[in-house]
Amino acid sequence: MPSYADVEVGTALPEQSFPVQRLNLVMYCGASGDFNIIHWNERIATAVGLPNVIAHGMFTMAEAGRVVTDWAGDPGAVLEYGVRFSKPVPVPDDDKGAMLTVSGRVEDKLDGNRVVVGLTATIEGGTQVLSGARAVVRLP
Amino acid sequence: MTAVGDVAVDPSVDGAAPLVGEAARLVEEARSFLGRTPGPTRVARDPVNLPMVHHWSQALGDRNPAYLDPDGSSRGHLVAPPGMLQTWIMDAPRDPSAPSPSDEVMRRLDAAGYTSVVAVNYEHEYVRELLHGELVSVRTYAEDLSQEKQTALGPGYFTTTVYEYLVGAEVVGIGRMRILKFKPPVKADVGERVRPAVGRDNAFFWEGVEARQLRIQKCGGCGVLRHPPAPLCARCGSTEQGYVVAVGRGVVYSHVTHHYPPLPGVETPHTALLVELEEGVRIISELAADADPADVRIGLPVELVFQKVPGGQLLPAFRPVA
Repeated sequence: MPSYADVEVGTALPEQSFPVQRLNLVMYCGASGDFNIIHWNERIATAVGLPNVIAHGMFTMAEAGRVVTDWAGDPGAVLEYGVRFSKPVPVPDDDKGAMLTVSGRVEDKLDGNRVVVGLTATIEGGTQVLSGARAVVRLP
Repeated sequence: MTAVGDVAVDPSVDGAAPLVGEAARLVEEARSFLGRTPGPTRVARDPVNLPMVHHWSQALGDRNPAYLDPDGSSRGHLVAPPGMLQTWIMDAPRDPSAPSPSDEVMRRLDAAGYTSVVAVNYEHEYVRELLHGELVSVRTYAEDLSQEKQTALGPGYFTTTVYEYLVGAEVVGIGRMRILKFKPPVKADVGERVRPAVGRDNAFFWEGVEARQLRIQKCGGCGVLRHPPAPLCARCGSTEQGYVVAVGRGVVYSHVTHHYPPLPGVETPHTALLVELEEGVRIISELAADADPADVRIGLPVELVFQKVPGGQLLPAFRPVA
């Protein structure tokens, strides 16, 4: 677990890539209680103008947040976490699905051993799916 | 929950005409529910528990030991995943006769025609971690409501709902969800485009279109190129004719974008183009359906594509050179 003294503004968090398949979305529907049809039914999703079934915003947000919780070690150390959903994450019904790649860096050091981590989340093709994604973490 | 899609919108674009009548009244009424007074408290169906955490962890592939293994947690006890904050109250029973202020706002926006919703921003503040066995409750209030905005999805209002998560009387987390409530554009059935009149003089042209070629008539006497096809040459008077196949590049010589009235088989806005081809002749055509009329200007380099128009007719069209 990184300590407050060790990190600097600019310290990079280990980048991670998360495969997202239809199965993950179906499971997340049940796990989160969000059964909105655009997250599992391609017929309806495309009929309302979406490129495909799309991942839940909260799914993408939580998956991206793993870069912070895995780095900090203690998920209870995360004090705040906010995102803007800039683009949807389409999840095609093939063997690959989508690949979410998330990187992070320390953007600021605050009092009380708190640091601000900025996250960048992209899918294949480089499309940024979250913007202004930031977490405040308390380090030892 | 209100989150439906998470689609890109541009909140910076403004400029809607003022609302009139009933919709305006409903939106103003919605504003009367803004403020920090929360609605009724709803209590989770189940306390924070390991089976629900397991399902959530499996869906995300997140096997952080702090969530699943008390011995693997640096705190010596299980920590509920922060991202599950909202999950605990998803099935909290609702009393439809006791709507929250944000429900009241949503109902009025629905009634005013802004029936679709996308989540724009979502923020969580974790006042403290949740422990297994704790029973979470939630109360909400509506924080703000924008003026009507023109967005890529249609006209709509941005509004923020604040979720106060409690254990007993203690606030343990705060969620702030900004959504866009918008009026989805209605795609009207535009009918079928009028079919071309094919005759002896222009059959070669339409056969070319079927073969995805843009054919330009060439005089068999003097060799001049001409479009549209004609039975005889205006320069030498010859009735002999052939054609060349255009390379498919040119520039916009002139253009006009049609908004109204509706025309059969024409989706508006529709941009008609007068394109000067590299071969030197001009042809009236249209802007490709995937191009933006706002990008069109005189002198714009364009390239040939073929597209099906409503009714199924294949037609040449042009789009800006990438």
